Amino acid sequence: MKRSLSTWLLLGATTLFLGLFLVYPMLRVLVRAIVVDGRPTATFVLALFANAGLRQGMLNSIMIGVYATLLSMVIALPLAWIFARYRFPGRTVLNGLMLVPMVMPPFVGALGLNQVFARCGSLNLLLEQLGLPMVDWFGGGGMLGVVVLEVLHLYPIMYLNIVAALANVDPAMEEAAANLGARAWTIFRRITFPLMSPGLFAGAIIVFIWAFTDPGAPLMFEYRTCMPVQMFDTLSDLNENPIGYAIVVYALLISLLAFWASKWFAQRTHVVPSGKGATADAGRRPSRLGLVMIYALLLGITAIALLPHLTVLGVALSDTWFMTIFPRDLTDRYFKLALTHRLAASSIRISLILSGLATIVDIIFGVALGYLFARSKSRVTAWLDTLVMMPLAIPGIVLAFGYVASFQSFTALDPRRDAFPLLIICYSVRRLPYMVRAAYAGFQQLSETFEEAAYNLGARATTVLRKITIPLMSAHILAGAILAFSFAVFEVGSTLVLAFREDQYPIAKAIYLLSMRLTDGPNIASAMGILGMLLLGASLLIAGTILGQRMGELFRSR
Amino acid sequence: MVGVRLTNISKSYGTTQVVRDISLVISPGELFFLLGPSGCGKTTLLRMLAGFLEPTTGAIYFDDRAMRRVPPNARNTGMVFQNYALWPHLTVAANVAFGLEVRHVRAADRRARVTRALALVHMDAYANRFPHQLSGGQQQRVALARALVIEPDVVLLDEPLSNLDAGLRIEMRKEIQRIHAELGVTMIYVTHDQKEALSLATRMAVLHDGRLVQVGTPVEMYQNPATLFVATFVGETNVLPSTVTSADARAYVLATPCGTVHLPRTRAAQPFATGDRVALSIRPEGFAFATDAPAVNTWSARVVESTYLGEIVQAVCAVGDTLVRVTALNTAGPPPRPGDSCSLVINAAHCRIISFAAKEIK
Repeated sequence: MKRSLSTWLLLGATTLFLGLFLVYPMLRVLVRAIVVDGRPTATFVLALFANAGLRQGMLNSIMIGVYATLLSMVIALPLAWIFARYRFPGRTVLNGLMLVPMVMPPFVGALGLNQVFARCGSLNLLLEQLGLPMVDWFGGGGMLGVVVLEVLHLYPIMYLNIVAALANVDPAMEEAAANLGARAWTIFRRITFPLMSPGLFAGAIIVFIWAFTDPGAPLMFEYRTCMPVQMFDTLSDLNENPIGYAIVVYALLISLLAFWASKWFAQRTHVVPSGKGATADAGRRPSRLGLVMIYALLLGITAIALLPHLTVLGVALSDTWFMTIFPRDLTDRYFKLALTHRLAASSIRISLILSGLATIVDIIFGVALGYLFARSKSRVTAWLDTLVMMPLAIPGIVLAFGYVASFQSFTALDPRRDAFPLLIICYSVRRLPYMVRAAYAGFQQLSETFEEAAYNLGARATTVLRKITIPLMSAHILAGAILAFSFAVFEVGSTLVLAFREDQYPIAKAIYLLSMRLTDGPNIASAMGILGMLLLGASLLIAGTILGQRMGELFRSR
Repeated sequence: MVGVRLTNISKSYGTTQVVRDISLVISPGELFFLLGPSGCGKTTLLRMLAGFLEPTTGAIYFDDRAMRRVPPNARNTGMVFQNYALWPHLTVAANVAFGLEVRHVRAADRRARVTRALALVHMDAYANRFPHQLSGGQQQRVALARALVIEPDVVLLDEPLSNLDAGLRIEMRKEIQRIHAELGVTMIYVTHDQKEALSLATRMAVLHDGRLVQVGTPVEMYQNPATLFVATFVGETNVLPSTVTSADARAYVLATPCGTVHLPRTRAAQPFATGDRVALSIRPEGFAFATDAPAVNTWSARVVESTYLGEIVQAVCAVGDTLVRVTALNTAGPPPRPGDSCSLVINAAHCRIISFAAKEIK
């Protein structure tokens, strides 16, 4: 395809948009961290090492990221293996169930889990009644709770990636190994795992960066000695104390490093383009005992993963849940309040509008870029692809921090005055990769000859786009848009940083604020969380139905 | 109905040349074939005619109109794609109507023409189906109707039958021939299947490595191949490396590994001199089994393999150490059996003397 004027316009607009709202803020933060009064200095970069609290915070966050990644791998691998290789009754329903834990951001789950695992929570009360000693579940300062919440939320991302990767491994590769006498474990270790590892790494990096930089769950658990919370705390005296910039730079460097490492690992492995014969449909049927074990494993994991959801529902539905094992005095009062309470109702409206606008921006850029990437490959588009995928490697809290640092002196964009413009931009930049991926997948499965046939019959470019391309693509665009929208609604890190005025709080910040109020705050917050879960759940269900196994491609770093 | 003229067309991607200096004139109303193995540049050539690719050098004319920089949607060609490219979200009728819609044909008129086009390919009963509800052969017919309904100046067919099974392919060949005869429209047909080309083409061009090797009617291509490539690609043949032992005004004498052959000069693709190394192509049907053989152009042979097929017999015979394929009409007597001694009589009309060096003719 020739590079026309519109292509150049698109390249220019994308570069300008991402240059201004992705590259510039990051550079700005970097400069602020190492340049003071016009002179480069290592003071603040080194200060991080000198300060024991900050050093420990960074280490803790890295550990949270690593533990969360490894644990979600341990959970997701057998699940994905079962779904990729076995056919059994209820498979489709259970496959959908695997994604359900994703519908609740970790910090909402914390609201409920506190009820169960706190010192006087349900579990310890149960132990006490049974005459057993109480256990400090969140011992070690609470890191365990954070890791558990992150894992329960993120293992579906890992699962989606591994299933997609396994589906690409031609069963004939494994059969060839079996034919030559290899045992199951050898086949997995020598053949299957190497072939699927690019997908595994692609999922792992998303999980790591997410867990490493999520401020939501630690804040809810009052686990303050970790990087995202410390970064959040420096915001108030940003202009006097550049230590915040140093934290951001470290967070960014670690994220980028992890990103490149995963890319490097993925490239080192042999990526085998699956032939047309490659199909995962040739699944085995498990024996009766195997079937029982499969059901037990799937339902067991899902039950544990849904525990936070259930507890949140308990908090949202009960008037009193204090010093008792189960919630009491059921009421729908808090759901009504969630829809009518000043802060709650306005935050829901604001989140829906901001996410909607951000999604429109994403659709425009995403469809155009997806088309460009699918239809014309060159060095320019390869470079642009890297740029567009960068938001996956840059944590939301880091990006938002960069926005505050870069734009607080521009009246039009100053988040302290009006946070809406930057929130919309931040949401759209953060979710752009998902939209581009979805559109790209759509264009790829759309044979170019469909468009050529229309040109050949005399249609002009606009007609082809309107009558052929868009109708054939609409499912993918819809799926990408739904995901971009629903994840923007529950965007935590950047929302906490950017929303300064209470009348401008989106859902995430309103939930955070409400959860700190002593009386009915947590109950209303939980009710809001449940409403959000329903929204996100429905979105994922629709998107999953449309995209099928290609869903996994949206949640990977390459 | 237009004529198509290509002058010195080349197409390069970076340093790889996929089409090299092709000039060609296709008359109005021809069913013209571009024949060649995969990778020979025939599809690239067709896509340049459709306007999806611009030639690197050279020009394309539809009648006297130069097509340079004329976009695909302004060329009025009707293309049938290899995978049909029927739009899955539109019904059969809507697929066929598309080209008329973008030409702003009035609705009543449009309906009538769609019905007529579908009737032409015997698909009028399927107007409201969606493509995925049709079989491969039916999709093929709809794709043809969609290309024809706009009354194109040229119909371009890109390996249209390659996705069909053998039986359907023969049926669709006849359909295309019938439609071409009925409409008289210029058709350019790309294929790697020489039988398709031989059975349908008014004329054909053989392409090899991006070059045009030979142009002619199917009979010319089969009987008078200009190069060894054409001789072996179009139809089956026996190739015997030979030497010219005598050349006079009317005939050549060749020494072949099987024996001596006398051929009239008209059987040579180009003039040769005594001592030249040449390739002799003898079609399998150029041999006949004989009992009372004339002395000239007759070799003694032994039957190695024999397949009886009713009206013909296909045999492999050994002449000395050289094996040749023979296809002979069955006479009343018993067919040859393996091990039989026999005499092979060569029919000069099925022979062709070709230079080893001739890769192409300009």
